Amino acid sequence: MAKRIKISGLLALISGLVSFAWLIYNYFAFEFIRPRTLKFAELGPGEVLALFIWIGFLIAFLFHLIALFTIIFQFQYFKKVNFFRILTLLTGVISFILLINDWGVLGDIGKEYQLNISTAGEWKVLYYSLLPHGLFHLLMFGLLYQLFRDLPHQPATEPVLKDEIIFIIAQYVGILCGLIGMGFTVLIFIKNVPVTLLKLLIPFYGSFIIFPYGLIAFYWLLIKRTEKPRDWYDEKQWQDVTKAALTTLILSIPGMSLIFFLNYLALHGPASIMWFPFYLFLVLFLFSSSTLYFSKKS
Amino acid sequence: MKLGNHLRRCRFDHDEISQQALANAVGVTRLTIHSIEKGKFVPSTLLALKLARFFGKTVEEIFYIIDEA
Repeated sequence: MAKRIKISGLLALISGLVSFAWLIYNYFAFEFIRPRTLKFAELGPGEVLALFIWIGFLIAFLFHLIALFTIIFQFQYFKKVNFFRILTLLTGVISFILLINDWGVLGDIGKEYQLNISTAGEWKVLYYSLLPHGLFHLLMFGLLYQLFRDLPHQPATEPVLKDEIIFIIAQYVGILCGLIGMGFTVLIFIKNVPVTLLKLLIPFYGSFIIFPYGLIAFYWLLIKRTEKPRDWYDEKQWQDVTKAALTTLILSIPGMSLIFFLNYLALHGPASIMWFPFYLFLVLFLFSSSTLYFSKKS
Repeated sequence: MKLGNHLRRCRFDHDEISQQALANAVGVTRLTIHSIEKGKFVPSTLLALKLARFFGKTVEEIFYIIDEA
């Protein structure tokens, strides 16, 4: 475990430094390209600058993946769910989702610029999302500093046969992904996005919003692959998830009723598509938050 | 009625065995042992028997009923 965490920490540091340099580069590239796209002028050297923005996405994406795994390994190794690690993890999830959003927004800017449509709103989104990206990079550097500082002094840790750390952090990520997903679906519903566009937007953004939770669930399943399903949780965890499932069922009924009501009013309106992501993220939020509640309470 | 226990004392008498080591021995998480010790979680009969066997005691020597007025 110590070797694995060292390697992933080192990879996170290298990719993080490159990714951070890319963020700074992005700011200056945006400053160069934005005025030209707003005036629908020729981009000139901006074409080359834009190319590096696209290439940089790959590195940033890689950094986020490595960083998220490094945080999970760190939780497992130090066996402590503290505020700083949770904050870094949750900021990382937000930054990851925004990264995918930026990618979509940049694509939109490219298309709308060619069609002479104003892209002022899209640029605002890009500038704002630089902040959470930057914050996540800084927090991650802080976490890596802590990691390399504490790792040599960490006494040999007792083995853990039944994991509880992944179980707990999966709930934190589930709460955040659920909230972002619900916020996203409600926002799209309010904005009255045409149904044809929703068919494209929902699978794309929905998959990326749920991706961090899926990543942790996948890692958890990987750990549990040799165990029988009945051994996946211990008896207290089974009790917690059972109570959480009942709570989710009861609390999701108003949400389901709302979806039914909206669908009933306009059968072929946006609710005919939006019901699924809304319900999925609502259930994810309710289940994760109630599991965390019962787990901490008892 | 509530369930009380001497788990903390048993661990102390058993060379101050850690919650994690005890959890590993009986196949649960550390948090579950912590919750039992605090009286917040009532273990199943099987887990109570496993704990008793681990400490070489009877279930009644570890767990007891607290009558509430």
